[in-house]
Amino acid sequence: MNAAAVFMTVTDRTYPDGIERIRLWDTCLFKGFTRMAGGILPNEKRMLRTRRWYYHKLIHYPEVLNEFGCVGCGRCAITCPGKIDMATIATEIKGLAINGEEE
Amino acid sequence: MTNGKNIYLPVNGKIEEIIPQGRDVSLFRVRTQMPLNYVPGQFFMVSVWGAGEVPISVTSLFGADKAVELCIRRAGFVTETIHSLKAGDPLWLRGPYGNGFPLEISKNRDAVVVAGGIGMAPLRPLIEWFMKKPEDVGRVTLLYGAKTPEDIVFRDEMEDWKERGIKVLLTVDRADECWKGHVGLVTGLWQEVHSDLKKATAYICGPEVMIKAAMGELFLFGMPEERIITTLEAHMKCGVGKCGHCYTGPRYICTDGPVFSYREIKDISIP
Repeated sequence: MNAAAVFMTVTDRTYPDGIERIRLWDTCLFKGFTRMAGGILPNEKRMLRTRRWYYHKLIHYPEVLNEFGCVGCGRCAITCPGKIDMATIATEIKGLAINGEEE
Repeated sequence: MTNGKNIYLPVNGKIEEIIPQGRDVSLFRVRTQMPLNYVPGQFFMVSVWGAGEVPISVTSLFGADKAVELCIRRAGFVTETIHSLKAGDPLWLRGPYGNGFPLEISKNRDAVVVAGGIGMAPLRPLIEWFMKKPEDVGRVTLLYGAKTPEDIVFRDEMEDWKERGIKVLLTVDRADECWKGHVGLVTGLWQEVHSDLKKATAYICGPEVMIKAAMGELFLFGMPEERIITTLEAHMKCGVGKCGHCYTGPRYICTDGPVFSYREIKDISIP
């Protein structure tokens, strides 16, 4: 198999005694996430990938399901060197800042 | 459909016949044990063990004792493997998935079918449907564009379609010595369509640039947004709206599409 297969969520692995079809972890921030046949990469630029991620989680999930796609686990806030807390910012952008709700 | 079974479990099919269609394209006739019920515009997840899965739209109209026909272009790793198979080899199918073409909106209206390259594949069952139910539809015009005359798919069938009252207009990007038809883009053929575009319906499939151009131009001609229909494609892994690979705008192409109207997708810019 080509090395690119590690990005795919459903992939076949060939062993000497058989073939296995497995699911793997994947993320939309990987370049290969939207790779189409023939090696076309619609989201090659990091900006486009981030935009896709942002719109999916914070714009279109609320539109379709009335919920943020962000579950608020806080791992991004712990890791971020710039102390950017995505969950808070998302609610602030929506005009539902946690402080505002408490007042 | 699932009956508590694994949704990723494909059914076994056997390639009955392989019919070459132009360069790099072949029509695969696949027979499954149980007939799979599908409508024009839907797609199957087609897989070869050891290679992977690809979404391929159905290229034939459903019939009780008919085999599934899949028109496949050699494009990537899996399709390359499919092309290396021979008649009698197994091919695995999962599906059908997707919503299919809205056939009722073309009732008593003229239909304009715009196809580019391999984009003919999902539109072929639609044309077969129009030929089967000619009383339901007005005049049908097919505009088909290919890169070169060699790349035209279903060339023999187009002759048959012509005889049965469908106006077929062909165009190529690069002509060879014996080509006598149009040269240029399909969107240059609107004046050859003798239907009132304001009252007609359009079904479009092809490369992304062609879909965009054709949809925009038909809208400018006064065709209502909800009657300009297209079918989109994206990289897919699950086909059932779980993995998120085919997310485009607020929709998943696999469960909400692949057939969309211009109204639904005109604002979408997320790749």
